[in-house]
Amino acid sequence: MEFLLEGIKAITWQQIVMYVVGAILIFLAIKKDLEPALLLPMGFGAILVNLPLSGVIDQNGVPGAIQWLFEVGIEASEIFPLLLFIGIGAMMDFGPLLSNPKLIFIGAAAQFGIFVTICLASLLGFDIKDAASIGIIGAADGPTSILVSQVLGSRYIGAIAVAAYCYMALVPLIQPVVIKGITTKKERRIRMEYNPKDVSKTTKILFPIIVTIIAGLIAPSSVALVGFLMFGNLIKECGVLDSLSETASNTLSNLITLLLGITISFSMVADKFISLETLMIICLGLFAFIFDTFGGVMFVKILNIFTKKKINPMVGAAGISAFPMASRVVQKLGIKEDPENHLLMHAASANIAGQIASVVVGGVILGWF
Amino acid sequence: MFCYDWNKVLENLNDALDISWKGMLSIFLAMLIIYFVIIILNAATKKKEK
Repeated sequence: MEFLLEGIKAITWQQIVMYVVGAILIFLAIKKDLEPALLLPMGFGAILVNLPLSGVIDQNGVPGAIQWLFEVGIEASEIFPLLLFIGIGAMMDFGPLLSNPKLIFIGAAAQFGIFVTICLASLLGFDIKDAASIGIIGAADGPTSILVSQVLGSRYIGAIAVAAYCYMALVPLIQPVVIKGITTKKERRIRMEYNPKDVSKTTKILFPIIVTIIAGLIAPSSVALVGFLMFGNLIKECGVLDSLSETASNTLSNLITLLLGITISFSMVADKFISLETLMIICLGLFAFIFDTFGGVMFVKILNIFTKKKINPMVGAAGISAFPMASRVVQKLGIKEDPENHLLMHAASANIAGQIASVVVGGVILGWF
Repeated sequence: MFCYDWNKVLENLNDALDISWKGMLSIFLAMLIIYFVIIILNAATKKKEK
């Protein structure tokens, strides 16, 4: 009967803490509706991999199911996050950005938090590769965070993924506080005209191809990220692959999301996850999101000094990759200040620019090392 | 790896600052190029439509 007690005897306090972490993630997913597609599999996976002598990690000397998924889907080729990018690309509509391209620079400015966080993480004692992996939480883009931290060989991939997805879900809580803190009521009431221009189908088809070529030439390391994203978008925009586009945006992305969540939990094994560094990464992730918002808003404020047609500074906050949450936050705040001030389409343009910018930054950082 | 060696921290911070300004510059340049691509594409396809 001794074998029945083997598991119970092998349990450690760190594993019990991880069950609590798993339970919190499941609670946030179900009760608070925070990124449930990712947080629920991650929460359940956190419990699964921390069961003593867990068969999903090691099955009598042979890699268990979750270890195998991690080795094949993330460690060997980073194929899971990349496949997810095909699905995201197939869901994206570059139309608002193509009809209003001047807001594209907001997407660049709102990546500010990434670099401030890299500096702070270095100052706190993290190795430069780990610091870069932590900084990329500020890309507000889960797959990019996972991919960059994996390629850079960061051992904090679990904490980085948890922070990235949690803060993406918390954008509606984080951004309004930062925006209100750095803008005046008058600035938040700035009205913006919306005169959309027609965008031809040819432009929509050529755009993903040309951007892939440009990104590949400027930052070759970004080709995988940008290329898969743009490939997904090309499938959608070409107009002759409707069933593939449908599959990519629904079935493929659902399937990969399902596997990605539970696979990432491999890096949430108690002895790797429970540390002071994890706590610091969670705090640094929040710092990255705050400074992304700060960067975007301040960029617009500076731009407004030199331009006649003022841009509402809140639109700057939408320059992060979290789509469409960031746009909705700006629209909500705009309406709250002035019921007739509709900023949604402007914010959507900045938000799409943020999506492109975040993958390019991921590539730039990868290219650095 | 996490380290508390002050000299190493300074070295990492130097690298981080270097990545930061070059990274921000690269992203603005990339977006500038994409901006021109959009302008050219919109102009070219508009002309064709006319």
